[in-house]
Amino acid sequence: MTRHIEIRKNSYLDSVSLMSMSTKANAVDGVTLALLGMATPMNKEVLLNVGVSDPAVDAAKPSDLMVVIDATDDTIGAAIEAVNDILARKNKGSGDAAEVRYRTLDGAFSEVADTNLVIISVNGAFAAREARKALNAGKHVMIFSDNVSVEDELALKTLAHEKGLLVMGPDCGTAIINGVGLAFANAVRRGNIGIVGASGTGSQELSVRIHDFGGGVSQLLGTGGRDLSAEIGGISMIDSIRALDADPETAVIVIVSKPPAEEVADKVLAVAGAASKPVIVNFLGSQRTESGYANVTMTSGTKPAAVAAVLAAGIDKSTLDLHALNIPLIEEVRAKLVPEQKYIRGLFCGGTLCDESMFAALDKYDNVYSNIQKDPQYKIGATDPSREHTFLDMGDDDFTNGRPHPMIDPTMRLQRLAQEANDPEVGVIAMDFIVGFGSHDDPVGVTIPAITEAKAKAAARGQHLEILGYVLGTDLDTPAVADQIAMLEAAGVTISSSSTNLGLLAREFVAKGDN
Amino acid sequence: MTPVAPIATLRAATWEDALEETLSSATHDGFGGDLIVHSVHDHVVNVQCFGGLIALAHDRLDDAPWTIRIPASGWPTLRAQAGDRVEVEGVPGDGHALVVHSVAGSVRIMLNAADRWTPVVDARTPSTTALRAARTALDAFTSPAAITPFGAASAQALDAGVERLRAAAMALLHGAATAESVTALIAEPIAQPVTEAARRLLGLGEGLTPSGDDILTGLAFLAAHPGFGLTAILEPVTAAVHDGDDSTTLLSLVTLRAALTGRARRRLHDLVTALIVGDNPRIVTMATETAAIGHTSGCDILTGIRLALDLAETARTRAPIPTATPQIAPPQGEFS
Repeated sequence: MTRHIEIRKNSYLDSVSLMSMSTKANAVDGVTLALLGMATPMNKEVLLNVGVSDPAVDAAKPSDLMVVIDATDDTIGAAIEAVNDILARKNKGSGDAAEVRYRTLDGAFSEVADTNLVIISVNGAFAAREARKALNAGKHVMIFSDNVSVEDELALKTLAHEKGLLVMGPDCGTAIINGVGLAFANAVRRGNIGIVGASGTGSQELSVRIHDFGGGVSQLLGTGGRDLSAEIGGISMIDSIRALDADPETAVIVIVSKPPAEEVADKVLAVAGAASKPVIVNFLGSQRTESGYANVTMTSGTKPAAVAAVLAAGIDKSTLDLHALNIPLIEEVRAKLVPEQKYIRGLFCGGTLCDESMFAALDKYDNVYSNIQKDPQYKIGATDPSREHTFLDMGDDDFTNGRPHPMIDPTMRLQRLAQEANDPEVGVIAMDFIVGFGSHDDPVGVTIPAITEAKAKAAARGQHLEILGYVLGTDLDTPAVADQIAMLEAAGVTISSSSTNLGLLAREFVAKGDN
Repeated sequence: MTPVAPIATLRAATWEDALEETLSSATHDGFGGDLIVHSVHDHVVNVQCFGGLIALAHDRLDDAPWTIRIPASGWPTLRAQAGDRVEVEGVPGDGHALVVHSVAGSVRIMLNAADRWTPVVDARTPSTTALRAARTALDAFTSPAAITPFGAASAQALDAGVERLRAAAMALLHGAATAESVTALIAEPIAQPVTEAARRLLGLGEGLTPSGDDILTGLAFLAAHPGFGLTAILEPVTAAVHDGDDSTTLLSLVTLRAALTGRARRRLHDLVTALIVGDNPRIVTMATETAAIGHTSGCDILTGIRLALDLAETARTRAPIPTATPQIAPPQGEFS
């Protein structure tokens, strides 16, 4: 006979459930006795009275559930599994999460001692405190929360660096660790390309393009958007590059970021140059074309970065469908637009996707406005009307303050789409649609009526309104990218095959005359 | 990145007005951001607040202390999980709202003044005939026999605990008949055995509210109705509960604290009113509804009420007993 004693911390199962489970547990083959009770002092005495004595029981608190199983030696394993299964099923059925939930980090650490990564998603005012607890307990940290001060971020990353740990974030929305997507992420093939991203949707786009080109991702590490600022100094980016350099499953490293501070870019490139593996760098909007290091390749966009990465990882170039710009399509769209239709309006969920399209437009036009423009002359707010070429990152704090992120709720974007369609000077409306973990379960479906209405408005005034869409996702995601694309095509939307192409196509569609 | 989802707003069906003070404190003290979801059940979400619990309950359940009832139509939107954050908001016009932030989205629950539920302690005195009739009617609602090994293991201790409490309370009530005042009485050693006996029931038995706690709840709730003449036992039982933070579950403590102030689920208020007026059919109806609480909780509460009725009859005899402190020997086999 073998006795198994287990204390389930903070288990609040109602009386009926406890009774039912106790009855079922006692009916499991091999179980001679199963006792379930809250760990109050009086109930501990009940156990003592029937001969159950154990330090774990002594240490348990009234909020804990005591589980005692006696079973024959050869069936105890199966008995424990069966009882656990009953408890797990009950947890799921009662509306509790199937996974165990802990109210404090300390509680989780005491139960699951081998945890090595903690995801923090609490009010930003408390995020640094919780992250510090995790770091002091020797855990890596991913901070999904925003509104963490620069001072706190620097202190946390310095502490992590000293302890040999990694802080991803704050405001880190994407990671793939050992094949598991965290927060917003896409289902991609596992492989030998490691990604370090200081931009969430930029990292998603890279992972998706790598998957599309036949490559796979070993790890995707986020750093948070401020990591490459002068204040933070790229601490997490540098530590991540070194971690991937040491990772035997990673053969190629790819970096994506919005333009870093110059001195930080130098530091990052120096670390990349010291790596033993090829490093592909995409600093969006940066003018750098040479890294100065033999193993470090600078690229101009997310798609070129993905192409360089898969080639370095050993994919045969002849197998790649590079989706070169479709010149006949560009001519066709230009022919449909009247001279008055000169401008692009970009309505984006993904900040990096907005950046990439905006930078493509800036290569050709000066009059490009955005809520994420660095040049104050061309910066507009969320409530300002669009002007000339306008690219809006609708996931930016300007738009999401107190409102849902457009990757979750499209309402704001649908309203804006209707407004933009009223402007007879608009030739192209560019939009991204992001599927995958954490995103809206049908981002295209909810937008189709507004697209139809927008096109109808333009048609009523005798214009063709070109709506250009890009669906970020893979064939493994839910919903399937192919289905989302089919819906867009049925609604008369032109499909771009990548974020990079989205910006280029939009730019070219509205080019006139000598442009 | 701001991972916010839309906030759905719904209006509570009813809410207990004792919450007013708690929620006002939360908003005035700037404490509103620190409430968390404590536990989630099929029809109840418990929110931890100031060392107590606020229950968000499906409106199929009746009113209860610290409880906000949610209309059935709004219940599916409340997909909370333990650990979720809950905010208290002040609403113009001196009202309040709770906002539950869960992964599935946020839900704002408006507490309108018109929807308050105020539990009332029926202070009328039942006749002796009514007491006896009530006692007889409740005999049909005994706790079911234990069906689990843990239930069986704790049953004997429960029976012994109830008898210990009965004896201690009877001695106290006899003493009360001769004491100059209740204040003087509770300072006497004669009250201490009641506290000790109550402590031996706290946290004893199966369930999230262990059976011993449910029995004490029934006893305390009836004792809080002055017409039954049991107020003398409130203080020593309160003393046991006051020191009971490490003795039982938080849910039990919250329920017991309310019972000691004459607050319980609406069906228990209705039952006590029926007991007071001697409305036998109504007693049976409300006792049946009470027995339906949990697996054994309802029957255990009724056990406490039966004990209280026995004691009420005893209190009316006002016959002092000779020994000051009863010495109750534990039954054979009971643990120490």
